[in-house]
Amino acid sequence: MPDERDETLMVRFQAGDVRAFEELVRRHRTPLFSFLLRLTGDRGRAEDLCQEAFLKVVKASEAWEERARFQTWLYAIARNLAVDEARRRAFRRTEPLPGEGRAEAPSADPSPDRAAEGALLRPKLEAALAALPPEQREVFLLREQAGLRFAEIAEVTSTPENTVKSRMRYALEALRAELEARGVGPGDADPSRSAAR
Amino acid sequence: MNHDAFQDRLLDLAYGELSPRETREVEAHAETCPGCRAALARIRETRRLASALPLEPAPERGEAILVAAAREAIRARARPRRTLPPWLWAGSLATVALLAVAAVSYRILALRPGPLAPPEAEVLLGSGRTPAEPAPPPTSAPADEPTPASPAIAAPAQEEEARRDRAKAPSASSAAGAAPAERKAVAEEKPEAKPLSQATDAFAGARVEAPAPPPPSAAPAAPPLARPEAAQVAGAAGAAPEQKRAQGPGLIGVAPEPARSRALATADTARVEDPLERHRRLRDAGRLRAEAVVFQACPGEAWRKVETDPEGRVVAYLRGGTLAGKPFEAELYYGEDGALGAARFRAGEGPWSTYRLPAAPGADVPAPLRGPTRAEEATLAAPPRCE
Repeated sequence: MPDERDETLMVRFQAGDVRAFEELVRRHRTPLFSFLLRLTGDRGRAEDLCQEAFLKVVKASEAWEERARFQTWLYAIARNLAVDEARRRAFRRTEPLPGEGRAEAPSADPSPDRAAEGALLRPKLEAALAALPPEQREVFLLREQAGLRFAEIAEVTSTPENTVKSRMRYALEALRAELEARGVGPGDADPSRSAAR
Repeated sequence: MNHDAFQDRLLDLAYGELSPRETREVEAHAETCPGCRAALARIRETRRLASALPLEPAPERGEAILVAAAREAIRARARPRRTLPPWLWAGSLATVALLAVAAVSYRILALRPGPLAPPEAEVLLGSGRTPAEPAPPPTSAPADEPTPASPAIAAPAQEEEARRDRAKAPSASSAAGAAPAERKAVAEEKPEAKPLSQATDAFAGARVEAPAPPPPSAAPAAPPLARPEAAQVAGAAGAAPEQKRAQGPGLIGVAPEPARSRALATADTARVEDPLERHRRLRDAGRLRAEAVVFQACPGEAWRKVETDPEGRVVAYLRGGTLAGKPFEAELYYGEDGALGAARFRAGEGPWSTYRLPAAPGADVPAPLRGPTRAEEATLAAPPRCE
């Protein structure tokens, strides 16, 4: 089951296999939660949105068609939920859009390795990322953390692919400048991690 | 591919979204282009920095809820769908409602009680002239001396002629105007509204052979039983065809037909049992209930007996008395629809004469058979006919 494509698991879930859905949750829950956490900057909202997105997958699973890529579909659901929720909150009280101008909440229980690794770089990365405009942060997170291709990001965000790439270029340049401003240079990164993506 | 095109592909190259051939081409260009080479290096360096950003683990507690929701969804899918689409529900309910309304309306139209107006009774029994014609004076047609030359005997021929004229009226009209023409003819025949006691008399104004109701002092001189045998053959064989044509289906929304047409329609319907047969069946089954009343100092109706079926509907309305010193028995029988459908009469111990509705034109009907045309009116409480 771990080697099966998401779409195959989804078909099995449509046929009544709950374990297939469990595997999909296992694969995508943490990346989705990370995306939502850094998009909204709020752990509680990210948790609620992540649950709601998977519940929508359950409800809409009968209508899902195999030709649609599951991951693109999942992130489109989650992103739309986040946007709608941000609009409701903005209507109730004046506050910035998801994660706008705020640093994301760090993990409350980081692993020892991550804690050591992030002791120097991570807070600066988090701050640099939070400083990005939401539309650039969104594209950056979908590409870097969710692993979606530019064409898929265009589909998730309902934005032309060229616009997505432009936002990505701006996001990378802004991150680089922000990190340099915080004293982070090229030698501070872990090359082994970027090779995996 | 020019420099700008290669530059646009650097991002795709850094993220591995180019095909192997495009990857080789862009990398080859970047080797020879310092600007593109520097830009590609910056992208890759930034990616390396960003890769230090770890994934945030999702809380464990939510996973069990999701799995439970998935199980419930699968169970719900496995259950047979018991609900119908809303449009199908609405359509089914509307159809059932329409059928119910249709059934009730049909029964109401078929069974709606209502007194027959005198001209309607006249047509039913086929005996008389139009009400507009004045009744012959009692002295011109002594009932105890009926002769072919007397006005009373000649009247049936006149009536038959008048009936033929009425029958021609609808047929002379166009097809579209046939029904209105017939209704008009009926309306012209209708007399003014009468009191209930007269309107419920099926024989009121319908008799020709018998003299018009004489003054009380002349009553003994005008016995209605002068020619009882002449009325024995009065039956349905001579029913006017134009009256049968008036019957119509009990459609929803159709205005109620005149009582005459309804009576004819129900009389012609196969499902309606013959009133006499109905009475016999109920009597043989022991399902008749009878009530009787005796009228004192009322020679025209010394007693009355009403027989009802288990549902309380009047089946027979029986009366006895004397008229001009001669005893008689008169019986009116009602169908299931409540309409007067048959009658029997005998004078003294003589044979019974049977009459069925509608009667033949010109049929002689004894006066004591005048009575309620509807079962609802054939009650013990109805005022007696003492004359």
